[in-house]
Amino acid sequence: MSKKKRLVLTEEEVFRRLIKGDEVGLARALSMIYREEASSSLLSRIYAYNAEKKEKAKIIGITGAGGVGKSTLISVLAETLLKEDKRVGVIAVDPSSPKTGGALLGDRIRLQHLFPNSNLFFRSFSSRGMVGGINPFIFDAVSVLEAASFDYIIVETLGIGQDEIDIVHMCDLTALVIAPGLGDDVQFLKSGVIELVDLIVMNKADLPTASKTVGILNSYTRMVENHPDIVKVSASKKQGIRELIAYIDNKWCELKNTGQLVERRTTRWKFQVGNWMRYIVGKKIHGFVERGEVKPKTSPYEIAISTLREWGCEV
Amino acid sequence: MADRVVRVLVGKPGLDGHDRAAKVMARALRDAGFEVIYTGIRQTPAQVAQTAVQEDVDVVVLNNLTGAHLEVFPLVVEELKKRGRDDIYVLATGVIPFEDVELLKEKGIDEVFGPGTGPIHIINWIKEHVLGEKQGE
Amino acid sequence: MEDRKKILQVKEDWLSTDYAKFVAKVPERKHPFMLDSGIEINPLYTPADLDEDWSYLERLGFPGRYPFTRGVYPTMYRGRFWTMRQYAGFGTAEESNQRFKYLLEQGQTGLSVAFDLPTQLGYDSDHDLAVGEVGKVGVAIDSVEDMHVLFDGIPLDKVSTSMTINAPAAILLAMYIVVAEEKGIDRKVLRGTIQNDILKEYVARGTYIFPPRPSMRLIADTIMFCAEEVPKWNPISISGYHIRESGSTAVQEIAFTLGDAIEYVKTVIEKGMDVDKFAARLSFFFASHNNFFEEIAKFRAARRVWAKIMKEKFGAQNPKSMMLRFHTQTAGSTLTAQQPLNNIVRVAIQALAAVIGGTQSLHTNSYDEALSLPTEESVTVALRTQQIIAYESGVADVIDGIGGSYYVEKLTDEIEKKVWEYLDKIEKMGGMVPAIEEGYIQQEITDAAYQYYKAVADGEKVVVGVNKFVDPNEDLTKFHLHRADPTVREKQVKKLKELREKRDNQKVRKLLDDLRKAAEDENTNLMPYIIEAVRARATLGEITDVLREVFGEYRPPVIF
Repeated sequence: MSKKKRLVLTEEEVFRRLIKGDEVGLARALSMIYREEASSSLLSRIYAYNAEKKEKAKIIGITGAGGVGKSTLISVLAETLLKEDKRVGVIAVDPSSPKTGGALLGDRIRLQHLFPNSNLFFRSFSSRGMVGGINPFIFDAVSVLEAASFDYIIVETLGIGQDEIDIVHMCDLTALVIAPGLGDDVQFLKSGVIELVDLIVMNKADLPTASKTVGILNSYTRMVENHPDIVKVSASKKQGIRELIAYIDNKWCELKNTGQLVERRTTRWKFQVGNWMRYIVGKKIHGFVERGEVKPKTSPYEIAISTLREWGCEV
Repeated sequence: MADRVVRVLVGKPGLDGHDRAAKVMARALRDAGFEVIYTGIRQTPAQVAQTAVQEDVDVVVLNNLTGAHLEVFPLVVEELKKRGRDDIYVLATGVIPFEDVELLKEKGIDEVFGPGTGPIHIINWIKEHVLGEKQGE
Repeated sequence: MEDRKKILQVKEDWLSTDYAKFVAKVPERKHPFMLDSGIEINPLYTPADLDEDWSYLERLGFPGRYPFTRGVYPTMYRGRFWTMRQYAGFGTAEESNQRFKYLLEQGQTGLSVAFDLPTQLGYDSDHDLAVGEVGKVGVAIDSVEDMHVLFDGIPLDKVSTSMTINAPAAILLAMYIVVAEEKGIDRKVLRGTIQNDILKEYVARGTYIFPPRPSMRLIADTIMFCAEEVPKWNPISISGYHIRESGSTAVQEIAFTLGDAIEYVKTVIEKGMDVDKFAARLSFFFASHNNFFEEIAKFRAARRVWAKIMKEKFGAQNPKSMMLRFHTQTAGSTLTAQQPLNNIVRVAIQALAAVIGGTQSLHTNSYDEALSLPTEESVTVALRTQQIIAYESGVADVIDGIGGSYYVEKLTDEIEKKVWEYLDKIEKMGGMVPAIEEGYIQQEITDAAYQYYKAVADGEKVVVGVNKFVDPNEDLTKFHLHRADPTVREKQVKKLKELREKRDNQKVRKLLDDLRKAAEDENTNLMPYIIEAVRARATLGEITDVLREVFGEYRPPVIF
């Protein structure tokens, strides 16, 4: 009966291998962060290393409802970029079962056929129903990928503001993917979504119902100042992909040249500080709420304020 | 420190397209609280191995129903070794006759679950070997 | 007979008194009793449980007449038993050829060919992905030369050959035709079947190559070509067996198979062929599962629904176009590795259901099938099972002996209703192709499969010898797998090399080019081009690669 020992790497080794782009080191770094086994110093080293790097990765967020074709789109994007000898890293986040904690992570099936390829890295994460509703681990995962020198880092999630992934803050550029026929009207009523993204990708643009959807979309975007552009593609037919990549490249360069990229990355850094604070305090709060004494005659607000002050918070 | 999450890769190397067992396995593993990555069908050994490395899984569960296990499963072990991750457990499931069990183990497969076994056996094995939980009879 | 109201009254009385009393003392074993298809089983059925407008002539009629519920032929087994067609073996073309000759000597007139996975997927034996698979689950065919070896010395004008091949079926059919012609046999006398059912591959069997739409075009080409050129050939065997084996319910098995069939018929009609010109040659293939009454009702419902579809939806005039002729195989997935002799009983019950259900031909599994390739002894028992049913049980001496059973008639109606529900839903989605592209069919099947697995895991569904009446001391080490010859790949690779040296490569290139151009035009029938390429000794892989270039390769949606 074999009892293997799981490969153990020191943080030093992990860091060293990670910055060389070694997959084992990179994968292990991601696991350590996700399992909360990474020390503060490893994280600091990664952030420091990234800050010094001249070449910046293009961090692209891809979000949208289920069924619009995000995975297919990402697979053809990756395929095209790989042909141009670019290094591509993808993070996909799927919900986990709140009951069992388990998760079925199937996003990578869509681009399995592109492997084996040393220029393509794909990592599936479950959203893990975080305590306090924030997931700082995915943010740090993006930083880990940056340290491994990818040209493009693509983050794929389901919906904005859902399941604790604030993708807009995590990425340089975020695209909302839509497809005709999937609850057209309802989606666009969430005009908050439209205001937050940089671009809207209309997938399955070859379908006859696509023009109707574009029409509805236009009527909403017109109401929003600085509304995002709409790029039409058909991922399954591989149409419009080069144009989409060109758009993303141009937009990214524009952000860089106007100083907006630096702004966004600063916002990301600040947001992540907040994420971590919320997560760490959130855990403490969760523990307190679970174990604390129930005093139904006292208002919850009273309990909250007095406890926080006990903990040394000036509120 | 977060609860120890077990990550499992379910892979179908070779040309066998019958995925009912692999999918049922994936769902059952998910219900048991594991994070499961499924490769889909028609994978080369290199694809399965690179996936296991990138996802930093604890266990790879291979499934084959067409008798290709003797040639193809050891190739997955080899590919994992090439990539420096032969510490990952590799389990074999499917239509595997008893006389092939020793051969597979010699080639690096950690345990074989042939006909008559089901997801529950793999789940218990993983809990015992990865989580160190002793399973009652 | 008494009037409905009276029967219902007495039934109510019975339920609330006698029945209730017993249940109070001895509760029922389950509550409720359900079929996997989602139909609840009542304690008992009476004539009053049938629909109020239930009519014998409308719902049943007579065998050989619309709606064929009781059987497709007027005399059924009183005239001739179903064909006992056992799907057999694998290996090299030489070995299979010997097996065929042996079977023909034994009096069998039908041959059945299984192909290895590289062949089923359009890869030559020297392809990277073919490693470990050449000659494993069937014979390796790389070119028409291999086909010649396979049928060497076999009178193709006197036998009927069934080929289980799907995505590259057109190419294998072309090879069969070329072999026949090179032996001096006219294609017009050839008899046989190619499975050629790509839609079920996407959802159940996994041996697809191209995406749905070009695959449908290729299938339509073969159907139309055969209607004109190979009129005795069954160009398609629309299959529910694999759908059922991948976990679907009985209702889904019929609904999705008929959904596929509708799609095929639609495609051929849209290409301009009259339905009565080709529909009589459409054949079907189902499983026979454990629940005896459900399976019988399933077959009867399938016949009735198909007849209605052909008549009302497609306007068929020829009764032959409305007949659902089918082959059945007993359900392999129900066989257990534990206590394998139990499987003989399971197969017998499943075979009995298929016969009472009116199948045209039947394959019974061997009892050791869960463990390995059958031995001669177990294959014989499987065949004897059919023979005992045919000669000793008496069920074949009457047509649709079970017809009129209140339960079976009710079930037939219920299954029919549920099948129509699915068909309507699929039609609203735009047909089977969109339903598959969206992953709807796959989701239904995988959910049913998981339900089944959970029910067995929880012990709610009993599998004798597995989760009940288990033998803790059972020794499962006894079985062995038929060893495929590892040198098959080497031999095939060598043959391929020689083939490529001997043939006129320029001619092959030109013909492949012609094929490519033809493939790009949706309205050109590809069969003649494939036949020419085959004749010039283009390989299976080379021909498939051309089609791969034009049609693309299919990437399935991810459905758990």
